[in-house]
Amino acid sequence: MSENKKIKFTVTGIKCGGCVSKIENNFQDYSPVVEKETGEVVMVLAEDTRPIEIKKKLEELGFPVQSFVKA
Amino acid sequence: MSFEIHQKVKGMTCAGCASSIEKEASKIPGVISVNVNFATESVAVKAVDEKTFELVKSKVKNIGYEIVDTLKEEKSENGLLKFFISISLSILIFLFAMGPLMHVVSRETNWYIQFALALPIWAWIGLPYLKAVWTLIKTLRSNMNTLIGVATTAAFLYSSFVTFFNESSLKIGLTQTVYFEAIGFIVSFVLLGHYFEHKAKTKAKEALNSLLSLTSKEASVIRDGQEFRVKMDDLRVGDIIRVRPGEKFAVDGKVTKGSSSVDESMLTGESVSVLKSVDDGVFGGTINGESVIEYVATKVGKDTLVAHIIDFVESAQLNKPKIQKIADQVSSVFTPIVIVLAFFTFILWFFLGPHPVWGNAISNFIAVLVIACPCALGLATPTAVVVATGKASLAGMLIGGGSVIEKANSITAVAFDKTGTITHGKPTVLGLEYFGEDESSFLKAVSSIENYSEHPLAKSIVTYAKELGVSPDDPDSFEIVAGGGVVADYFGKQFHLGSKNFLEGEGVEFLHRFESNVLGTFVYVSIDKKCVARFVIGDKIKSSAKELISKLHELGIKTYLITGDNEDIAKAVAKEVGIDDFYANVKPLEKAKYIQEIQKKYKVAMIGDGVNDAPALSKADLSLAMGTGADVAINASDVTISSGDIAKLYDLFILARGSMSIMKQNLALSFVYNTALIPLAAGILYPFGGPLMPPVLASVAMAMSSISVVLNSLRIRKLI
Repeated sequence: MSENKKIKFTVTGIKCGGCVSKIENNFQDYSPVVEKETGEVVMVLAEDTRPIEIKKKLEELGFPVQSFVKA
Repeated sequence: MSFEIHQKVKGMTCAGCASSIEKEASKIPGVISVNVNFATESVAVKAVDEKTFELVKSKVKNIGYEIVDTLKEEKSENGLLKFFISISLSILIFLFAMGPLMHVVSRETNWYIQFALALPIWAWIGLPYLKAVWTLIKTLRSNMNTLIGVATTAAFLYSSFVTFFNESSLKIGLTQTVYFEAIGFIVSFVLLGHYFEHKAKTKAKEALNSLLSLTSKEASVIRDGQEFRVKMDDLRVGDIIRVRPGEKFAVDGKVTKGSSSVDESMLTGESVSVLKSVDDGVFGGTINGESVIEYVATKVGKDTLVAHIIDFVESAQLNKPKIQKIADQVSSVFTPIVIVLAFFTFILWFFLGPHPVWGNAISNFIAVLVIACPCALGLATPTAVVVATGKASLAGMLIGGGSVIEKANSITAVAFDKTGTITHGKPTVLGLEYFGEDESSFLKAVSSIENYSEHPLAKSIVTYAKELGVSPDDPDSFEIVAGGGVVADYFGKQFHLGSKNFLEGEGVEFLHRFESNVLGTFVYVSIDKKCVARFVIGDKIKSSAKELISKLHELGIKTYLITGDNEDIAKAVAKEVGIDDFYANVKPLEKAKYIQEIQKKYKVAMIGDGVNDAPALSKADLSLAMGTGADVAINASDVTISSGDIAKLYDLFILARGSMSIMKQNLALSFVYNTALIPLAAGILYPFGGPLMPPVLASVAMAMSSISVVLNSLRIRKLI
């Protein structure tokens, strides 16, 4: 049984509800929970998914990643 | 808004023609500039609108030339066929005039036969020359064809008169000789000279032709999973194209599938193939290596790199060095002067010469006209410029024109920008000081962490680790701290990476001493708040830099380094590479001031990356930019080195110096042929017992003059 991991990313660039929806729609597979005020995004990744892929995608969408930590 | 166009011009025989066209066309209101190149038979017109250009076209036609659309197919004139007809008839005439058939018939019949053989040469093959005589009478304009026309017409009329009105000619006292064979040989040798000139010009334009033949005619386009062969002209941006091993890339694009080595030598002069994989750019005209590649077209037709380069080289070939402008001016006044000189010669021999008066006068008159044809003078510089710029572009250097070659020849000092020119311009790990036990685990940890940072220093560390075979993992946590540092957890250990200040601020202990005499940017690493390592990161010096500097010194060129870096780094770099002197801590806008400083003693060439060095580059006596050829379209630099290989600078100087000396040789050659031999043709040696120049010999010499100038220019190809 593969273990999922919960990762909390902290990003910048979330300006409004539109940005929140953008993240929610693009990372549906990872059940994202977005905190607009702090820029925290919590996602559930499969064991073999590397955080760096999520980071790259977030940055492509316009949200630079300041940090991440296993939640 | 303005209208610019390059086209071909037909009908020019020498630089005098080029000058005339420029003068007449410039007079038309609305014309901004006109540049005509005799050697490449092309013209560049800049006008306010297209209508003005149409006016230019009709004016040019009025004075006897034709502007032709470059895109249309060129029909090669059958110059060789005409030559063979002409020379055959000439030999026949010769057999009757001085050869074995001389006494086969009566003198009268002999002359009738010669007349019949010479008539087609004079009137049909020699028609262009007759037209030129008519233009002279109509407009007082003359060129090389006029000289030939006057010579052959004088000979023909005289000889015909003596043939058909023999009694009258005896009464006047005309010398009883005919010159039909001279007419034949003169026309024949002029044609031969033109033919070789044309052949050699084609060879000189070889470089351009090879650029033109670079692009393939068809490509394999993938549509809906199926492969179709599509003509080059029908390719569109966005098409997915599949290239097989050994095939040429048809247009510019970005790789979408596959990876292969590509031979880009025809564009950059680099002989080593470049590895291309997904997302890398590829260019039309380059040759694919060992694997199949698919790419999406980003630029087609006139927008491709190859098309830009061809455009650039063509307009560069129209750009004139100073000595050529002088030569053109001399050419344009030359022919009228020669005609006057010829008549003067005639009068001299007629009134003051020994018998036979008519014979000597006519003969020398013709000889002077024929030998003075200024075609060699007009070809002297343009052919050299064409060969030099073509050769340079094959070597990966785009030279902006003939005037650039002149400038490059006089350079006595070179100023180098540091970052990106002498150095690679990318931060690279120069060394690692590590005080732990397991360096490879350490590298794994560090590269895994730095992989999450976008900072150039971080990327250099990741690259360093990759080169040692260590690939990045993922840390458990990662945080960028404002102010230039990173904190991360990796396998239960806490890492801090950043400057000394940052680590100290985070409470890290520094228990080890690091080397103090090291230059570069430092990234310190601590594990669980104890500093264990330091990366030294710097800008690596290009390996070709040292050799280039020493070669430049051999040429007697002084070298300078201008950089915004601090004095320690500038000093170290200058010393490492052998540069004579340096200016450090220079702000971007101040670079121009230092160029002026150097200019007090030297003629300075400045080499930089074009974009930020613009003010300094424009101040310099010669500006060189390193960049991909795509910059050429917007680059205002005199020379662009397309592969970023500074070693080419040496080749540039060798090429420029060699080309200038060949240009001077050409001018000397043409002077000898066209000017110094005129007195000989006029018979100046005769009073001293020396020979006269028969018209036939004069025509041989004249053909030789253009051929030798063009052949001499081809030697430029061997310079680099």
